[in-house]
Amino acid sequence: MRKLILLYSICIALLSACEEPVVSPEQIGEYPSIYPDYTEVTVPAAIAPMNFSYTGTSYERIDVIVKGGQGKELHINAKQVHFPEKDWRQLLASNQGDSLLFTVSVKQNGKWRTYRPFPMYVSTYPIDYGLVYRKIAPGYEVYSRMGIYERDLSSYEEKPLVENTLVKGMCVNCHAFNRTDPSHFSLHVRGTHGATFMRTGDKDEYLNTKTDQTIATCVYPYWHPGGEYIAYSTNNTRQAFHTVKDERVEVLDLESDVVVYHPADHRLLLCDSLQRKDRFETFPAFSPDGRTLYFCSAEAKKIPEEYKEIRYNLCRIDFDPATGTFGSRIDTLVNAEASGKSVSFPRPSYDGKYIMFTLSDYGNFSIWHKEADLWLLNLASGDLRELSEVNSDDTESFHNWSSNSRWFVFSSRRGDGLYTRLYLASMDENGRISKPFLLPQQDPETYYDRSVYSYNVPDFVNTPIQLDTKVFEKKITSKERIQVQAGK
Amino acid sequence: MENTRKYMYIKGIASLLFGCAICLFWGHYYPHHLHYHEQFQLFLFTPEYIADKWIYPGGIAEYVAEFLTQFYFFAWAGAMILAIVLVLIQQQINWLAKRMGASGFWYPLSFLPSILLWVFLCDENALLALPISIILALFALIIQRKITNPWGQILYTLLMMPVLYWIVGGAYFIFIAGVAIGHCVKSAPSIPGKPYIWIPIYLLLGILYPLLAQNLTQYPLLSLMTGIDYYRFPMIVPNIMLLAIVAAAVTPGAPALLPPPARATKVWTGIVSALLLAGGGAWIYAASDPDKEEAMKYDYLARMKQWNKIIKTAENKTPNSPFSVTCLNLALAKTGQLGDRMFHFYQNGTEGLIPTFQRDFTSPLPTSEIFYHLGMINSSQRYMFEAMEAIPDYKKSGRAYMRLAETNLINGQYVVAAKYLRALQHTLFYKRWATNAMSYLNNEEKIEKHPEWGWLRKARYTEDFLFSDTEMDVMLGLLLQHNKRNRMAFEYMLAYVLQKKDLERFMKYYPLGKDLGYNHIPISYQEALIFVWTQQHPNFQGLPWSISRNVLEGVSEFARIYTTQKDSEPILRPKYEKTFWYYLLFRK
Repeated sequence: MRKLILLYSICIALLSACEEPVVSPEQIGEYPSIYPDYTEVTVPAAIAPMNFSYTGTSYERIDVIVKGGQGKELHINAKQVHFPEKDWRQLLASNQGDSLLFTVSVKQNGKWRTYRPFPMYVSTYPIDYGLVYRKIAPGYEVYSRMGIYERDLSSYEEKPLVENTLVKGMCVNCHAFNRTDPSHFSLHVRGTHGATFMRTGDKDEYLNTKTDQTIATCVYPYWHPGGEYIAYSTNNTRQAFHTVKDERVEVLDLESDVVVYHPADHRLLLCDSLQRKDRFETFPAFSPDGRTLYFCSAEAKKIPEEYKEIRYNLCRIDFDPATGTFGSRIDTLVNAEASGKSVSFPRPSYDGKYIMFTLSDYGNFSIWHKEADLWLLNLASGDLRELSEVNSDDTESFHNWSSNSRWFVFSSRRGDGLYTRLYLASMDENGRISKPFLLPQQDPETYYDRSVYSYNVPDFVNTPIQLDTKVFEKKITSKERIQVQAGK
Repeated sequence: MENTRKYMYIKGIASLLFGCAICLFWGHYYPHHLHYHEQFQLFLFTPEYIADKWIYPGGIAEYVAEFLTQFYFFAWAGAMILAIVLVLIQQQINWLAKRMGASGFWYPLSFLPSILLWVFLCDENALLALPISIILALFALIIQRKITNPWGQILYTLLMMPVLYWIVGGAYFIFIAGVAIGHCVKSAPSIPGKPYIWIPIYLLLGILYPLLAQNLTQYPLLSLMTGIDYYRFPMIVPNIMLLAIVAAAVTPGAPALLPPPARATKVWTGIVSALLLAGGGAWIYAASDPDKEEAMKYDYLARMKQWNKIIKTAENKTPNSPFSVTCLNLALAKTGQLGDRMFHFYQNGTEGLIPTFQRDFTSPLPTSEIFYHLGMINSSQRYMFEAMEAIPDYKKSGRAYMRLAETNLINGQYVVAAKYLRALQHTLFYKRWATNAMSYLNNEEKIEKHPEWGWLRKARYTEDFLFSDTEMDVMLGLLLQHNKRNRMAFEYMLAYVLQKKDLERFMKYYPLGKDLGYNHIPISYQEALIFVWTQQHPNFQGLPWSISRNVLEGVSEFARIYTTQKDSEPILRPKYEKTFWYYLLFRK
């Protein structure tokens, strides 16, 4: 035992000797330049350690002290800022509703400089278990390795749910859960083994959603809160490519409609108002009470000649979940067309207060539009505002709410102009929105620099997803599909 | 004693000659297959790169193979590597065969797996990961045979199987087969009793590990059984690949079970050797594809901007595949000869000029080169990105990363350019280029002064519209309209309409070249102009263009023969095959 204590003491002494204490530092009156920019952000208490790098000129060592009103402070004195997970978790748990103060000192050319301490706020609002997203290179028509991944937000663990290595030529996209609950799960698979994977509780089905009354297979899913329906759009899509430097890809709908699927009887519910030939309808989303279906609608124009004239409004139609019938009137909630703009990806908050959407200059595929920004519609007051707290000069596009509507995740190209990354931000009861933070990684600078993927269609999940990939592979590669039937 | 030494020398010389033959084959006859391989991977000296390889069976062997494949950048280095790899396998087989008690008579058979691998590697999609995996599997078998304690051998085998499976993937069946055969030969150390009862255990475990791996990875069972990255296309298992694996599995042990002939051993050795030499040689010859090698050569030379070499190669043998003709036309355009000499070579229409987009990993490469040199920067970037994303085994590409970095630099998208350049700085052969290119980031003045990037920045489109692959002449016209000094755009536009046999558009576009500094009207344009003239005029009087005497005389004779002879094509071909008129009237 004595020997063990001696050994332990020697180890501690050696480790302490590796530390270089901050001596006579020069005080700098500004925040340190760090990547990711985690200064003044608001984080959930359960978030993984928010490691960062100093991005100023080269340095020999970095010293970071993290203090909260409660709990044991964290002290890092090393080349890299890697917070120990257990201590991090304890510190955040002790300081919920309060803030942490990060004091960063950097040793450069043998001299220490201490920057103005920056705060990080620890929210009282919990966040869901994790995120699910697709990772794919930001290409054009062809795709290499890609898949749907699940990320535990309290750690750096990411696990693949389905990768296209599993089935040759498979493309996976358009995944959706019911208000973050993965027991209701829709996933679209393209390729020679195309299908729509549909999980409703304990039942997994593989559907063929193309019917002779609809344009194409069902995409852009959104669950009805009761889990009895799921809305889709069916789109006849073309891709086109720009010639100038700031533009790349344009995805154009030649025609599109909105439909609602009823899994219990494998029936697609059609509605004349949502299948108009003179309009493009897309991106459906149910209201939290399940009695309204939101969607985007634009006047049909000649493609490609008038592609820049296509502008989508945010609309709504009544839906009766008891009978599966639609209302007769379509209301326009946001007339973006009138202001020369176009709405995409409407996402109602689950508390029923807001609809967040993306606003761009034209078209519906805002993920490739540099000017695309997030906007918020207050359903009670009708107020509409740009989310300047989270927008950047580059693309902000797909987004989703956490189950308690206090957090949202969105994708943005602000990092390098091409590869989309995920950012999280919080919104309090009064609609105040915090500064967003980049999804944490063990070594974020290296991770994001070397990642060859964009993050698509992020959504929260409240629990890990169970998916047997062996069964999935077997079913997808088989020809057995349930043919859905369309009817009015 | 003397005889043994003599045989050792003979065997050594045979291996050496075998190695030399491999080296000569790949270095001299098939070098561009090596360049072809090199461009479809991006080996990075980063912890993440190796970490990615650790997570599936065969990934570590693949890592080693990719490390070696990067040296294919220099074809002779690649040839040396292949020679060493295949000779090493032959030596391993020979060692194992001896160890298992095979007669020296069967020595020539030790070449069989390497010969089969040579045949396999002639396929442009066959990857080095298979030979490397075989080396590692045989190495594991050698260690097994070196263990003299029978129980130690069994313990080693049981422990090695999962480890080896994770390192090499499906090729670990070679190890299992070798161990199983080893239990059947007399000279092997064996446990008392019935050693062969272990064979079904090994076989069952051998099948079990890939099944278990299904739970840990996202690969289908076929890939987990036969190897994930031995062949570029997933889920395709060529017969020759299976044959090579079987040969590597059986050859070390099988000769021990076969007695040598009782008489005339030397004669039989000669016969076996001759059969292997002739059969192997014939098979390799049949497996190699000089047409593909030629296409790869054109692509390589276009990538390396060796325009004169491309033209010289075409002068020696006219290429006829669209892929090669595309590169040749680019070389002609880059050296200012497209208008003059385009029809001196075989042309296969606009597909040999600017091929339409195909969703594969090879055909967009030369098209990306064309777009790049024309100044269609976004399209060049798109085609290169698509080619990289289409690589069937999901790898990235050093060549593509370079082009993506360049196009982003030209477009002033420095942050994303820097991302590609930083990745290239982790490579062996692109590092220096990337480091130099880094100095251009955010340096507008330096880019403007760059002999290539500076010009391309001026040449590229600055007004946005949707690119149309089907109206290429219009796209080229808009490019010329944007920069009226872009002679290459003009020449491609005229070549495009000439190859489409659209003389109406040719006549419309032709005047746009008047300020481009030509000292003579390019020959193919002269031929087109005079053809149009002769359709509307009885003689050359009033001809508004300066047409050479040769062309005037040529068109007269051509027209005379064409109009007077019923089957004029064979008569015209010898003298006029290299004219626009022949292309116009006879090429389909």
